[in-house]
Amino acid sequence: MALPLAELLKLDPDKMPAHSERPTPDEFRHKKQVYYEDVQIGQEIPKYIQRFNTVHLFNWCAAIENPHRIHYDHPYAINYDKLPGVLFHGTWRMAIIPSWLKDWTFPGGWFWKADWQVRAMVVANEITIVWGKVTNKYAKDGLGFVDLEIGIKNQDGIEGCPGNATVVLPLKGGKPIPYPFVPPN
Amino acid sequence: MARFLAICSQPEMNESKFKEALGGFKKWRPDRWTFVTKAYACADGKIVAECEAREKAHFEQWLMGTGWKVEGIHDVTHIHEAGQIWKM
Amino acid sequence: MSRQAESVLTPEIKALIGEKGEMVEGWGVVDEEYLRRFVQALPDWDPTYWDAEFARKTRFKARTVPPVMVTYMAGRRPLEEWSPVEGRPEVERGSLPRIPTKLDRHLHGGDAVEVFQYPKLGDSVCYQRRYADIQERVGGDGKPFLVIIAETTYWNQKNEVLCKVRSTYINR
Repeated sequence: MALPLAELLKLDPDKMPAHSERPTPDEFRHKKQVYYEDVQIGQEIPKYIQRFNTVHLFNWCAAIENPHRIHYDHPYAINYDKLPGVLFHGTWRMAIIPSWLKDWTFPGGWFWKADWQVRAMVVANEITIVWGKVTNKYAKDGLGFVDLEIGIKNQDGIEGCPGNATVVLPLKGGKPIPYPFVPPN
Repeated sequence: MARFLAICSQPEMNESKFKEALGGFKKWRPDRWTFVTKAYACADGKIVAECEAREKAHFEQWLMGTGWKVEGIHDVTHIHEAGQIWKM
Repeated sequence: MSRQAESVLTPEIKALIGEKGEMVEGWGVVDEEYLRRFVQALPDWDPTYWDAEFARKTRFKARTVPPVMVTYMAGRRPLEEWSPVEGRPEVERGSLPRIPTKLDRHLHGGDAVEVFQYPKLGDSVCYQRRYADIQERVGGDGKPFLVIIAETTYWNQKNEVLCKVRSTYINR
């Protein structure tokens, strides 16, 4: 049973990552489709919880060829840019959010769109809680559209990335979602 | 923003008390603009703590919460760290 | 009586709305090694990226890549555009014209993404930026500032749109 966001935030930060709902590769292979009819307004969707440490930050810098020192050079970050530590990349969110919503809609759904603001900075070793809550749903052209309020909170509940997203889910017994995805008019 | 260095003492300092003062984000980063970047606990009971803050008063307030005896707080102008010199 | 602050959205800046950067062809193709490193770092554990047999049974019928991986991948630079002294690219590609303003604080306000399809391994990717919008707002201090929306569209070699990113920047 997933722990609601409000309950999660009452935990000791060290205990939070154990409640992450990220599927393992094996769980992906057997993942059951979430259908439009299964979704209720107000429901929370699976949360991804992780403590990104300096190894993760280094790997991300190397993978995307971002050499900016504030992400891996601690003396530079605190003494030149006067930051509290090496920073989690703001643009990392742009990869995390679509992948997370892609996972939730897998295998037959589609992550369509999301937007968010860049707010509080996150430093290495903070907990990041990627969370979402259904705010609206509607069926159109035989497809199920689900709007979500989304964000990435830290262990203290500070929101660093408030935003919105829309995913598309199949209707039970309905047609498959077209691929490539064509947005409704 | 400015950098400050506090010389303090706490004769019965141990790892547990040190963690109590600094372990966890809310402890070393009490608000968005105040962060204790480094602290040294010495065998003779001295503590040296470095803090980035908007005003010295914010660091003083944090120090009061630790229970340490504050001997002095100094404005930092330069830092040397492993061959690099940083001007504050 | 306070004097109304002078507008920062000048006709010269307004004229930049719709202005495009050069069309840039990303270096290389969507390749195995970039995908491997990207999903390890992200992380994203979806076996559709690396298990061909599993991927064949999905509706994509083949291996895919993370939804917006191309937006990072397209920034790769060939060796001749890399500075060995600085350890970073020395050429900025596809830039938009500079906003002629005295406002010198630049903030990244947020992003929006829209995804239509994934590229396939072996695809090449192009992108182009444009100023989608530039607006003036007034801060709590009564001073006007600029909100700039820069949109980047990514295509595959068949000219099919893969995804779009709209980034909001604030100059104040």
